[in-house]
Amino acid sequence: MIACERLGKRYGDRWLFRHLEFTVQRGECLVILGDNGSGKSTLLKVLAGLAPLTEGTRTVEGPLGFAALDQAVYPQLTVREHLELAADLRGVPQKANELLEEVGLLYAAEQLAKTLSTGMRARLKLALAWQADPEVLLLDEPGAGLDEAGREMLERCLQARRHKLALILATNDPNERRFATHELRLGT
Amino acid sequence: MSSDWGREIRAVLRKELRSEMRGKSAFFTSLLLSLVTVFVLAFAFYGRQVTGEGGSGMLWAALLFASVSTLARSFIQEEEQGTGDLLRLWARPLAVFWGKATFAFAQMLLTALLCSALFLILTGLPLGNPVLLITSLLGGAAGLAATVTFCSALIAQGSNRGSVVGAASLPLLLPLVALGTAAARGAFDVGTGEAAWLACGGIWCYAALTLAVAPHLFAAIWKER
Repeated sequence: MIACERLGKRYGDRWLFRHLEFTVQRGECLVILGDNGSGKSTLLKVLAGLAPLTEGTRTVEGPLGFAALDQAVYPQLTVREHLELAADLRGVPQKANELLEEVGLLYAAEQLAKTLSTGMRARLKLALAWQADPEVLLLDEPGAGLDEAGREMLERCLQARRHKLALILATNDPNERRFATHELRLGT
Repeated sequence: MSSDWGREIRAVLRKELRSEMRGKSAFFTSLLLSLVTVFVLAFAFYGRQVTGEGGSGMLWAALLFASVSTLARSFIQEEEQGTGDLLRLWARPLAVFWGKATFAFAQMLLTALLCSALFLILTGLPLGNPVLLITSLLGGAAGLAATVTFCSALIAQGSNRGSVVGAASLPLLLPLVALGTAAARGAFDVGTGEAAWLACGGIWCYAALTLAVAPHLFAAIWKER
Protein backbone atom coordinates (compact mmCIF):
# COMPACT_ATOMS: atom_id res chain seq x y z
CA MET A 1 0.00 0.00 0.00
CA ILE A 2 1.14 3.54 -0.71
CA ALA A 3 -0.59 6.63 0.61
CA CYS A 4 0.05 10.33 0.66
CA GLU A 5 -1.53 13.21 2.51
CA ARG A 6 -1.45 16.86 1.50
CA LEU A 7 1.57 16.20 -0.66
CA GLY A 8 3.17 19.27 -2.19
CA LYS A 9 6.30 20.07 -4.17
CA ARG A 10 7.50 23.56 -4.93
CA TYR A 11 10.35 24.81 -7.11
CA GLY A 12 11.08 28.42 -6.21
CA ASP A 13 7.74 30.23 -6.17
CA ARG A 14 5.97 27.70 -8.35
CA TRP A 15 3.99 24.80 -6.88
CA LEU A 16 4.38 21.82 -9.19
CA PHE A 17 1.59 20.07 -7.29
CA ARG A 18 -0.07 20.68 -3.96
CA HIS A 19 -2.64 19.13 -1.58
CA LEU A 20 -2.41 15.72 -3.27
CA GLU A 21 -4.13 12.97 -1.32
CA PHE A 22 -4.53 9.36 -2.42
CA THR A 23 -4.12 5.77 -1.31
CA VAL A 24 -3.30 2.92 -3.65
CA GLN A 25 -4.00 -0.53 -2.26
CA ARG A 26 -2.74 -3.89 -3.45
CA GLY A 27 -4.43 -4.82 -6.74
CA GLU A 28 -5.09 -1.18 -7.63
CA CYS A 29 -3.39 0.93 -10.26
CA LEU A 30 -3.21 4.70 -10.21
CA VAL A 31 -2.29 6.21 -13.56
CA ILE A 32 -0.86 9.72 -13.40
CA LEU A 33 -1.53 11.78 -16.49
CA GLY A 34 -0.40 15.22 -17.52
CA ASP A 35 1.40 17.25 -20.11
CA ASN A 36 5.17 17.47 -20.30
CA GLY A 37 6.47 19.41 -17.31
CA SER A 38 3.34 18.87 -15.26
CA GLY A 39 5.27 17.02 -12.53
CA LYS A 40 4.50 13.34 -13.23
CA SER A 41 8.12 12.20 -12.96
CA THR A 42 8.79 14.44 -9.97
CA LEU A 43 5.75 13.04 -8.16
CA LEU A 44 7.03 9.51 -8.69
CA LYS A 45 10.48 10.50 -7.43
CA VAL A 46 8.93 12.10 -4.37
CA LEU A 47 6.91 8.93 -3.74
CA ALA A 48 10.06 6.81 -4.16
CA GLY A 49 11.92 8.99 -1.65
CA LEU A 50 14.37 10.21 -4.29
CA ALA A 51 13.28 13.85 -4.12
CA PRO A 52 12.36 15.81 -0.99
CA LEU A 53 8.80 16.84 -0.20
CA THR A 54 7.97 20.49 0.28
CA GLU A 55 4.96 19.60 2.41
CA GLY A 56 2.78 16.63 3.34
CA THR A 57 3.58 13.01 4.13
CA ARG A 58 3.90 9.75 2.25
CA THR A 59 3.59 6.21 3.57
CA VAL A 60 4.89 3.12 1.80
CA GLU A 61 4.17 -0.35 3.15
CA GLY A 62 6.20 -3.22 1.74
CA PRO A 63 9.16 -3.42 -0.64
CA LEU A 64 9.25 -0.71 -3.29
CA GLY A 65 10.20 -1.09 -6.94
CA PHE A 66 10.96 1.90 -9.14
CA ALA A 67 11.84 2.34 -12.80
CA ALA A 68 11.96 5.62 -14.68
CA LEU A 69 12.70 6.67 -18.21
CA ASP A 70 15.46 9.03 -17.11
CA GLN A 71 16.99 6.63 -14.59
CA ALA A 72 20.65 6.01 -15.41
CA VAL A 73 22.52 2.72 -15.04
CA TYR A 74 26.22 2.13 -14.42
CA PRO A 75 27.95 2.33 -17.80
CA GLN A 76 30.90 0.19 -16.68
CA LEU A 77 28.87 -2.68 -15.22
CA THR A 78 27.34 -5.54 -17.18
CA VAL A 79 23.63 -6.31 -17.14
CA ARG A 80 24.21 -9.28 -14.82
CA GLU A 81 26.43 -7.26 -12.49
CA HIS A 82 23.65 -4.70 -12.04
CA LEU A 83 21.31 -7.43 -10.83
CA GLU A 84 23.99 -8.95 -8.60
CA LEU A 85 24.80 -5.56 -7.07
CA ALA A 86 21.15 -4.74 -6.42
CA ALA A 87 20.49 -8.20 -4.92
CA ASP A 88 23.48 -7.91 -2.57
CA LEU A 89 22.46 -4.42 -1.44
CA ARG A 90 18.78 -5.27 -1.04
CA GLY A 91 19.49 -8.59 0.65
CA VAL A 92 17.30 -10.57 -1.76
CA PRO A 93 18.17 -13.88 -3.48
CA GLN A 94 20.22 -13.78 -6.67
CA LYS A 95 17.92 -14.69 -9.54
CA ALA A 96 19.49 -12.80 -12.42
CA ASN A 97 18.86 -15.43 -15.10
CA GLU A 98 15.20 -15.78 -14.20
CA LEU A 99 14.63 -12.00 -14.27
CA LEU A 100 16.58 -11.47 -17.48
CA GLU A 101 14.70 -14.32 -19.14
CA GLU A 102 11.44 -12.67 -18.14
CA VAL A 103 12.35 -9.28 -19.64
CA GLY A 104 14.00 -10.86 -22.69
CA LEU A 105 17.52 -9.71 -21.91
CA LEU A 106 19.29 -12.95 -21.01
CA TYR A 107 21.20 -12.94 -24.30
CA ALA A 108 22.84 -9.62 -23.29
CA ALA A 109 23.63 -10.58 -19.69
CA GLU A 110 27.39 -10.09 -20.06
CA GLN A 111 27.11 -6.86 -22.06
CA LEU A 112 28.28 -3.58 -20.50
CA ALA A 113 25.40 -1.19 -19.84
CA LYS A 114 27.05 1.56 -21.89
CA THR A 115 26.61 -0.60 -25.00
CA LEU A 116 22.88 -1.19 -24.47
CA SER A 117 20.22 0.44 -26.63
CA THR A 118 17.48 2.56 -25.04
CA GLY A 119 15.05 -0.36 -25.20
CA MET A 120 17.54 -2.77 -23.65
CA ARG A 121 18.20 -0.32 -20.82
CA ALA A 122 14.45 -0.04 -20.26
CA ARG A 123 14.27 -3.85 -19.96
CA LEU A 124 17.18 -3.85 -17.50
CA LYS A 125 15.45 -1.22 -15.36
CA LEU A 126 12.27 -3.30 -15.32
CA ALA A 127 14.26 -6.37 -14.25
CA LEU A 128 15.80 -4.32 -11.45
CA ALA A 129 12.35 -3.13 -10.37
CA TRP A 130 10.92 -6.69 -10.34
CA GLN A 131 13.92 -7.94 -8.39
CA ALA A 132 12.77 -6.33 -5.14
CA ASP A 133 9.64 -8.50 -5.40
CA PRO A 134 7.81 -5.23 -4.79
CA GLU A 135 4.45 -4.70 -3.17
CA VAL A 136 4.53 -1.08 -4.33
CA LEU A 137 5.69 -0.43 -7.88
CA LEU A 138 6.29 3.02 -9.38
CA LEU A 139 6.85 3.14 -13.13
CA ASP A 140 7.58 6.32 -15.06
CA GLU A 141 6.85 5.95 -18.79
CA PRO A 142 7.69 2.23 -18.67
CA GLY A 143 6.88 1.60 -22.32
CA ALA A 144 9.00 4.44 -23.68
CA GLY A 145 11.87 3.08 -25.75
CA LEU A 146 10.43 -0.42 -25.90
CA ASP A 147 9.67 -2.10 -29.20
CA GLU A 148 6.46 -4.03 -29.88
CA ALA A 149 7.81 -7.20 -28.26
CA GLY A 150 9.00 -5.16 -25.31
CA ARG A 151 5.57 -3.62 -24.80
CA GLU A 152 4.01 -7.08 -24.89
CA MET A 153 6.54 -8.26 -22.32
CA LEU A 154 5.72 -5.26 -20.11
CA GLU A 155 2.00 -5.93 -20.35
CA ARG A 156 2.51 -9.64 -19.61
CA CYS A 157 4.66 -8.88 -16.56
CA LEU A 158 2.22 -6.31 -15.19
CA GLN A 159 -0.78 -8.59 -15.75
CA ALA A 160 0.99 -11.43 -13.91
CA ARG A 161 1.81 -9.24 -10.89
CA ARG A 162 -0.97 -6.69 -10.69
CA HIS A 163 -3.05 -8.59 -8.12
CA LYS A 164 -0.24 -8.32 -5.55
CA LEU A 165 0.92 -4.82 -6.43
CA ALA A 166 -0.03 -1.30 -5.53
CA LEU A 167 0.92 0.12 -8.90
CA ILE A 168 1.45 3.75 -9.90
CA LEU A 169 2.12 4.50 -13.55
CA ALA A 170 3.08 7.90 -14.93
CA THR A 171 2.22 7.79 -18.59
CA ASN A 172 0.30 9.28 -21.46
CA ASP A 173 0.32 6.01 -23.41
CA PRO A 174 -3.28 4.85 -24.06
CA ASN A 175 -2.20 1.19 -23.84
CA GLU A 176 -0.76 1.66 -20.37
CA ARG A 177 -3.83 3.63 -19.26
CA ARG A 178 -5.79 0.40 -19.63
CA PHE A 179 -4.32 -0.80 -16.31
CA ALA A 180 -5.84 2.13 -14.42
CA THR A 181 -8.27 1.59 -11.59
CA HIS A 182 -7.92 5.31 -10.80
CA GLU A 183 -6.52 8.28 -12.66
CA LEU A 184 -4.90 11.48 -11.49
CA ARG A 185 -4.28 14.35 -13.86
CA LEU A 186 -1.62 16.91 -13.02
CA GLY A 187 -1.95 20.37 -14.50
CA THR A 188 0.80 22.57 -15.86
CA MET B 1 29.87 -6.19 11.79
CA SER B 2 26.97 -8.42 10.72
CA SER B 3 27.14 -10.46 7.54
CA ASP B 4 24.46 -8.18 6.03
CA TRP B 5 26.61 -5.10 6.48
CA GLY B 6 29.66 -6.99 5.25
CA ARG B 7 27.83 -8.15 2.13
CA GLU B 8 26.51 -4.66 1.35
CA ILE B 9 29.88 -2.95 1.85
CA ARG B 10 31.63 -5.59 -0.27
CA ALA B 11 29.00 -5.07 -3.00
CA VAL B 12 29.66 -1.31 -3.13
CA LEU B 13 33.43 -1.91 -3.03
CA ARG B 14 33.18 -4.48 -5.84
CA LYS B 15 31.17 -2.02 -7.95
CA GLU B 16 33.80 0.68 -7.42
CA LEU B 17 36.62 -1.72 -8.30
CA ARG B 18 34.90 -2.97 -11.44
CA SER B 19 34.09 0.54 -12.62
CA GLU B 20 37.65 1.67 -11.93
CA MET B 21 39.25 -1.36 -13.59
CA ARG B 22 37.17 -0.77 -16.72
CA GLY B 23 37.19 3.02 -16.72
CA LYS B 24 40.74 3.42 -15.40
CA SER B 25 40.13 7.06 -14.61
CA ALA B 26 40.36 7.93 -10.93
CA PHE B 27 43.41 5.91 -9.88
CA PHE B 28 45.50 6.86 -12.90
CA THR B 29 44.56 10.52 -12.55
CA SER B 30 45.48 10.39 -8.87
CA LEU B 31 48.76 8.62 -9.56
CA LEU B 32 49.63 10.88 -12.47
CA LEU B 33 48.97 14.07 -10.51
CA SER B 34 51.06 13.00 -7.55
CA LEU B 35 53.90 11.72 -9.75
CA VAL B 36 53.97 14.90 -11.83
CA THR B 37 54.13 16.96 -8.64
CA VAL B 38 57.05 14.86 -7.39
CA PHE B 39 58.84 15.11 -10.75
CA VAL B 40 58.45 18.87 -10.90
CA LEU B 41 59.73 19.30 -7.36
CA ALA B 42 62.63 16.93 -8.03
CA PHE B 43 63.62 18.91 -11.13
CA ALA B 44 63.34 22.16 -9.20
CA PHE B 45 65.93 20.85 -6.76
CA TYR B 46 68.10 19.24 -9.44
CA GLY B 47 71.77 19.30 -8.45
CA ARG B 48 70.98 20.37 -4.88
CA GLN B 49 70.30 18.18 -1.90
CA VAL B 50 66.68 18.28 -0.78
CA THR B 51 66.49 18.76 2.96
CA GLY B 52 64.30 16.63 5.21
CA GLU B 53 62.23 19.69 6.13
CA GLY B 54 61.52 20.59 2.50
CA GLY B 55 61.09 16.97 1.41
CA SER B 56 58.46 16.19 4.00
CA GLY B 57 56.37 19.16 2.90
CA MET B 58 56.75 18.30 -0.79
CA LEU B 59 55.66 14.70 -0.25
CA TRP B 60 52.49 15.65 1.60
CA ALA B 61 51.68 18.44 -0.84
CA ALA B 62 51.77 15.87 -3.66
CA LEU B 63 49.50 13.52 -1.70
CA LEU B 64 47.08 16.32 -0.89
CA PHE B 65 46.72 17.33 -4.54
CA ALA B 66 46.18 13.74 -5.59
CA SER B 67 43.51 13.07 -2.98
CA VAL B 68 41.49 16.26 -3.37
CA SER B 69 41.43 16.23 -7.13
CA THR B 70 40.52 12.59 -7.64
CA LEU B 71 38.91 11.04 -4.59
CA ALA B 72 36.33 13.81 -4.70
CA ARG B 73 35.07 12.36 -7.97
CA SER B 74 33.44 9.48 -6.12
CA PHE B 75 29.98 10.90 -5.40
CA ILE B 76 30.14 13.74 -7.90
CA GLN B 77 30.43 11.20 -10.69
CA GLU B 78 27.46 9.25 -9.29
CA GLU B 79 25.31 12.39 -9.39
CA GLU B 80 26.58 13.56 -12.77
CA GLN B 81 25.90 10.25 -14.47
CA GLY B 82 22.60 9.95 -12.58
CA THR B 83 23.35 6.67 -10.80
CA GLY B 84 23.21 8.07 -7.27
CA ASP B 85 19.49 7.28 -7.17
CA LEU B 86 20.22 3.58 -7.73
CA LEU B 87 22.28 3.51 -4.54
CA ARG B 88 19.57 5.48 -2.71
CA LEU B 89 16.98 2.93 -3.77
CA TRP B 90 19.01 -0.17 -3.04
CA ALA B 91 21.49 0.53 -0.25
CA ARG B 92 21.67 1.72 3.32
CA PRO B 93 23.65 4.99 3.62
CA LEU B 94 26.31 3.55 5.92
CA ALA B 95 27.01 0.69 3.51
CA VAL B 96 27.46 3.23 0.71
CA PHE B 97 29.83 5.33 2.81
CA TRP B 98 31.98 2.43 4.00
CA GLY B 99 32.14 0.84 0.56
CA LYS B 100 33.21 4.10 -1.06
CA ALA B 101 35.61 5.05 1.74
CA THR B 102 37.28 1.60 1.69
CA PHE B 103 37.87 1.94 -2.03
CA ALA B 104 39.21 5.48 -1.55
CA PHE B 105 41.54 4.24 1.21
CA ALA B 106 42.99 1.48 -0.99
CA GLN B 107 43.43 3.92 -3.86
CA MET B 108 45.03 6.58 -1.66
CA LEU B 109 47.37 4.13 0.07
CA LEU B 110 48.61 2.70 -3.21
CA THR B 111 49.16 6.20 -4.59
CA ALA B 112 50.95 7.28 -1.40
CA LEU B 113 53.30 4.29 -1.41
CA LEU B 114 54.17 4.62 -5.11
CA CYS B 115 54.55 8.37 -4.83
CA SER B 116 56.79 8.09 -1.76
CA ALA B 117 58.98 5.47 -3.39
CA LEU B 118 59.48 7.63 -6.47
CA PHE B 119 60.05 10.69 -4.31
CA LEU B 120 62.84 8.95 -2.38
CA ILE B 121 64.46 7.67 -5.58
CA LEU B 122 64.39 11.04 -7.35
CA THR B 123 65.49 13.19 -4.44
CA GLY B 124 67.96 10.75 -2.90
CA LEU B 125 66.67 11.76 0.51
CA PRO B 126 67.85 9.28 3.17
CA LEU B 127 64.97 7.47 4.85
CA GLY B 128 66.02 7.03 8.47
CA ASN B 129 62.79 5.54 9.79
CA PRO B 130 60.74 3.63 7.18
CA VAL B 131 58.34 2.24 9.81
CA LEU B 132 57.39 5.76 10.87
CA LEU B 133 56.82 6.83 7.27
CA ILE B 134 54.66 3.79 6.43
CA THR B 135 52.68 4.06 9.67
CA SER B 136 51.98 7.75 9.03
CA LEU B 137 51.04 7.08 5.39
CA LEU B 138 48.60 4.34 6.49
CA GLY B 139 46.87 6.63 8.98
CA GLY B 140 47.06 9.54 6.53
CA ALA B 141 45.41 7.51 3.76
CA ALA B 142 42.57 6.56 6.13
CA GLY B 143 42.05 10.18 7.20
CA LEU B 144 42.22 11.49 3.63
CA ALA B 145 39.79 8.81 2.41
CA ALA B 146 37.19 9.48 5.12
CA THR B 147 37.36 13.26 4.84
CA VAL B 148 37.33 13.47 1.07
CA THR B 149 34.60 10.82 0.71
CA PHE B 150 32.37 12.82 3.04
CA CYS B 151 33.19 16.14 1.35
CA SER B 152 32.51 14.58 -2.05
CA ALA B 153 29.06 13.44 -0.89
CA LEU B 154 28.33 16.84 0.60
CA ILE B 155 29.34 18.73 -2.53
CA ALA B 156 27.59 16.29 -4.87
CA GLN B 157 24.25 17.40 -3.42
CA GLY B 158 24.65 20.92 -4.74
CA SER B 159 25.30 22.61 -8.04
CA ASN B 160 28.66 23.97 -9.23
CA ARG B 161 30.23 20.84 -7.81
CA GLY B 162 33.74 20.58 -9.16
CA SER B 163 34.85 24.06 -8.20
CA VAL B 164 34.05 23.78 -4.52
CA VAL B 165 35.64 20.40 -3.80
CA GLY B 166 38.96 21.90 -2.88
CA ALA B 167 37.44 24.79 -0.97
CA ALA B 168 35.36 22.46 1.18
CA SER B 169 37.90 19.75 1.85
CA LEU B 170 41.17 21.70 2.17
CA PRO B 171 40.40 23.33 5.55
CA LEU B 172 39.49 19.91 6.94
CA LEU B 173 42.63 18.32 5.52
CA LEU B 174 45.15 20.97 6.61
CA PRO B 175 45.60 19.58 10.15
CA LEU B 176 46.22 16.13 8.67
CA VAL B 177 48.80 17.50 6.23
CA ALA B 178 50.54 19.39 9.03
CA LEU B 179 50.74 16.24 11.14
CA GLY B 180 51.84 14.20 8.12
CA THR B 181 54.63 16.66 7.39
CA ALA B 182 55.80 16.54 11.01
CA ALA B 183 55.84 12.74 10.97
CA ALA B 184 57.66 12.65 7.62
CA ARG B 185 60.34 15.00 9.02
CA GLY B 186 61.03 12.38 11.67
CA ALA B 187 61.16 9.66 9.04
CA PHE B 188 63.77 11.75 7.18
CA ASP B 189 65.81 12.07 10.39
CA VAL B 190 64.93 15.68 11.13
CA GLY B 191 64.00 16.64 14.69
CA THR B 192 63.35 14.21 17.51
CA GLY B 193 61.85 10.78 16.98
CA GLU B 194 59.54 11.36 19.91
CA ALA B 195 57.93 14.41 18.29
CA ALA B 196 57.54 12.54 15.00
CA TRP B 197 55.82 9.58 16.66
CA LEU B 198 53.57 12.02 18.49
CA ALA B 199 52.59 13.52 15.12
CA CYS B 200 52.01 10.00 13.78
CA GLY B 201 49.70 9.36 16.74
CA GLY B 202 47.91 12.58 15.85
CA ILE B 203 47.38 11.29 12.31
CA TRP B 204 45.78 8.12 13.64
CA CYS B 205 43.61 10.14 16.03
CA TYR B 206 42.49 12.31 13.11
CA ALA B 207 41.71 9.19 11.07
CA ALA B 208 39.78 7.61 13.96
CA LEU B 209 37.80 10.79 14.54
CA THR B 210 36.86 11.27 10.90
CA LEU B 211 35.98 7.60 10.50
CA ALA B 212 33.75 7.82 13.57
CA VAL B 213 31.96 11.04 12.62
CA ALA B 214 31.88 11.15 8.81
CA PRO B 215 29.63 8.08 8.26
CA HIS B 216 26.88 9.54 10.47
CA LEU B 217 27.06 12.98 8.89
CA PHE B 218 27.01 11.26 5.52
CA ALA B 219 23.88 9.27 6.43
CA ALA B 220 22.09 12.52 7.28
CA ILE B 221 22.93 14.35 4.05
CA TRP B 222 22.43 11.26 1.86
CA LYS B 223 18.87 10.80 3.12
CA GLU B 224 17.96 14.46 2.98
CA ARG B 225 18.60 14.97 -0.70
